[in-house]
Amino acid sequence: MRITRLALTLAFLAPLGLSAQEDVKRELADLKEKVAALEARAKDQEKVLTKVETKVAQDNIAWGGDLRTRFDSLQLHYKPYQQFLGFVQNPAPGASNPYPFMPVTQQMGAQDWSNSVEWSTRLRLRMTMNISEHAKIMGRLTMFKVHGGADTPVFNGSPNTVQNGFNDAKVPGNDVLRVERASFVYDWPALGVLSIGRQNTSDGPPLEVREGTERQATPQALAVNALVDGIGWKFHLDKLGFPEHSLLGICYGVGFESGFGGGGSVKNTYVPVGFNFTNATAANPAGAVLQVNPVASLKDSTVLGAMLDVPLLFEGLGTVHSANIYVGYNRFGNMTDIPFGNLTQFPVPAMPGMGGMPSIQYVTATNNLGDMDQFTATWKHKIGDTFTYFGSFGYIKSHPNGKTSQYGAYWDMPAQMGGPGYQLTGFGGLLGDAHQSRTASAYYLGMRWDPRANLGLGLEFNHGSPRWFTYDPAVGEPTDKLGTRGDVLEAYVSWEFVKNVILKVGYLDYTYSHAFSGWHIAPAPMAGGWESAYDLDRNPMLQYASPATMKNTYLSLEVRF
Amino acid sequence: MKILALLPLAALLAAPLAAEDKGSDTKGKYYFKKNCKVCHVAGGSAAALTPLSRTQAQWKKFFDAGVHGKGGEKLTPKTCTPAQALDIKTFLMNHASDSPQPETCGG
Repeated sequence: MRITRLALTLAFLAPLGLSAQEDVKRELADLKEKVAALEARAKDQEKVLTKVETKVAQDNIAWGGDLRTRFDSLQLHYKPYQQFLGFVQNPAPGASNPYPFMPVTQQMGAQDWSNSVEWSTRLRLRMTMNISEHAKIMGRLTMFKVHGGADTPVFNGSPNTVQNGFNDAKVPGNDVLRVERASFVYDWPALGVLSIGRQNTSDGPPLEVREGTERQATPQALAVNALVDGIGWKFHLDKLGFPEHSLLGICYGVGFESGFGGGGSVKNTYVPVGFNFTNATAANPAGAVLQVNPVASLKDSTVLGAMLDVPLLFEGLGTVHSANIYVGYNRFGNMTDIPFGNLTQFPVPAMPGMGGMPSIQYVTATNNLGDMDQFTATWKHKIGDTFTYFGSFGYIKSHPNGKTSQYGAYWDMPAQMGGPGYQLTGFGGLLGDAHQSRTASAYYLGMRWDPRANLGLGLEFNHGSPRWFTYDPAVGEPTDKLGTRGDVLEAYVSWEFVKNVILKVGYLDYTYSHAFSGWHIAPAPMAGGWESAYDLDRNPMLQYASPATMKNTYLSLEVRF
Repeated sequence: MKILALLPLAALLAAPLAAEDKGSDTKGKYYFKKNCKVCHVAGGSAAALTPLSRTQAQWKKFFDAGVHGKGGEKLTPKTCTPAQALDIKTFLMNHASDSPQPETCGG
């Protein structure tokens, strides 16, 4: 009986047990479905959150930039030179100078000058406005102020001391926030990148090495390191078998607009350019008359350029290598003597007490001087993250049209002394010769060692030949390193002691061989060859003193964000 | 005196890294191209990606999660080694859309 009862009980309970198991399975399945649904919802929310974050960060204006404060300590040395003062009557015309006028000069001895501390602060605000998937506006606003009230530069013969549209965000000036870059960029993935506006034409390779950054699709520093307005088209070359991100860029820019603004005031008019002493004698001093020259309509000055930019990325010797090849060509057309700019004490130093008190003045182009070809090439190679070296080369060739700047002491010379349009001193024609094509070259070498991720030590050297010129008003400092006619040695230590906060100590040693560094124009020589006439070792005649050496020790603190 | 002058430099070299332990930016660029851009390109099997596609925080979050793809598989070692992942993370964060130096080509 007992066995029978037990069997019956088991028989009744067995289905119940099976039923409970099925319930558990069902609940488990339900739970799995719920977890899956929750996971799906979580993923959806993640997508939404990502989109929201991306929208906040990117879809409107993405801001970035840097703030740098810098101390420059400058020591300059000047070798003896003849200070040009103007023309006077020649009291005794003779074989060496048969004309009734002669230049007046004051022999200046060697001298030193120093500025123990020049303090400047630079704020750069980088912004990207995404319009659509392929369209954006890129801009950079810059304030670069020298501390104190020297808001308008005092002209000292250096082009950096004329504040103009090419350099005003690149050299220390005042507290104005300037538009350094502002361009509309459209990227056709299959074709290339179109850029219209104030272009990304500064801080190009290989200058970024000393900044510890990367640059691409920017003209080489030896070609153009200035603010340029224009249009650029960069073709993607990837599909043609070139390495990824290879570009062929074609650009067109306007260097001087003659129809509006500065050029308008000198169209079809006459300007006083100096004094003519041809008929002046002791008996007839009134023979010295104001020299007035006609100024014809100016043409726009333009630049048409091409650049090839090939980045290489490869493995070898147990590490990864990142290298770049850059080749560039620019044709500068109808170059003018000087762009519109403001400055003080131009064209001659003011004479307090003589009615020549300093005041802000404006200058503008007075002549189209001709064309110029420019070729540049750069190789940069980064080995792993620790060692980078580069070499850059530049070559220019002028095509003058016989005209000279109307600024300075202009003179129509007798045939024996050069002929009409020949200028003794002042600003002159392209590369110091308004009549013949001239060439010049430069090279720029450097290396950087980063023993730690936050520490970099660099050494750079650049050399420019006697007539070298590049559109490189400055490289973020008061002096014009890459426009130097002579040698520049730079050494620096860069230490990122806190993330994105960089302390930098550096030393720049300039040795100038010839006068007029930074200028594309220069006067013709009084006698002999140009190279010897303006060799700083040969007591040249200069309207503005030109330093022979300059030592610049700097300390900067930069915060990037 | 020369030895004294070198002391600050030696101190710099001996100083601990201020930044967090990082991978290699250059290697990251290379491995990103080699490992990621095989699929993450326009017209590829996955969404096109560049460093600019995300903010620094978003890239950090992605690598911290260590999950890759819709299937939720682990980022490593199938996709790349842990060392390569760190290099790629360094590169992407260094050039993210809100980084001090966003990667840009053109313009």
